[in-house]
Amino acid sequence: MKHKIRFKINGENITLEIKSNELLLDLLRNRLGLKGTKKGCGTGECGACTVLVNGEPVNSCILLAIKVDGKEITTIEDIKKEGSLSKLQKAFIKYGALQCGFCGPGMLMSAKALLDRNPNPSKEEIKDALSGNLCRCTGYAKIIEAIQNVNKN
Amino acid sequence: MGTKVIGKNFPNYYSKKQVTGKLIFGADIEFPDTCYAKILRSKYAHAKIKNIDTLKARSLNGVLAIITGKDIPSISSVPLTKINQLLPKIK
Repeated sequence: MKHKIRFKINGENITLEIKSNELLLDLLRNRLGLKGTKKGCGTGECGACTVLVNGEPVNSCILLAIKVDGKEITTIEDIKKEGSLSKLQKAFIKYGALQCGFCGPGMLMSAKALLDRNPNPSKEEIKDALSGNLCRCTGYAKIIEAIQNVNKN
Repeated sequence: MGTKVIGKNFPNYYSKKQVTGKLIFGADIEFPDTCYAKILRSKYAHAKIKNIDTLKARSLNGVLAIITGKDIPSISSVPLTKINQLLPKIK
């Protein structure tokens, strides 16, 4: 069965016809070509597919696309404002928070959601916010360090 | 004794692409008419293969090929052990 949904993606209004069982991640990657959002486990455990729905981080690999009808989605493609990198992105580079970078888009989206509601989080609050994002190469120390320093300099 | 690089921090070469989601990984690459392969593994360790019936699978729409051990020449150029074959025929 097909459904027509309307939502906002990175500030742009879009209307799409979708299947009942279509997942948000597949819609983003395969239909909108937004490949910055990654598919890691596909079962909502690794967080590589994290995007923001109305500002809240969600695992797009287990969210039915129909659920975002009328909502606002932000992906990694949007957190860079035209021309320059955001403070969060600069901090990830400065503190060497990424190695292979596959977990990066998800990490950055979870970190953005946290910083948007809490500009100066503690180490514990950062760990809590990133608890749904797995990294298999750098470990978490540098990622936490980067997020701690976003609003400090 | 100054040097331009030793003892200094440098950003990862790919860092800008990494933080903007622009770094391309294998799964992000698409070619037209790409074929996909799926591996079927035995449910049982060290089990003997009596027969692999591919008839039903072959007749499914969109299936281009099914490859089993029978399709691999008996003298393999790949140096594998007796039990660790490229695609197993008997075990």
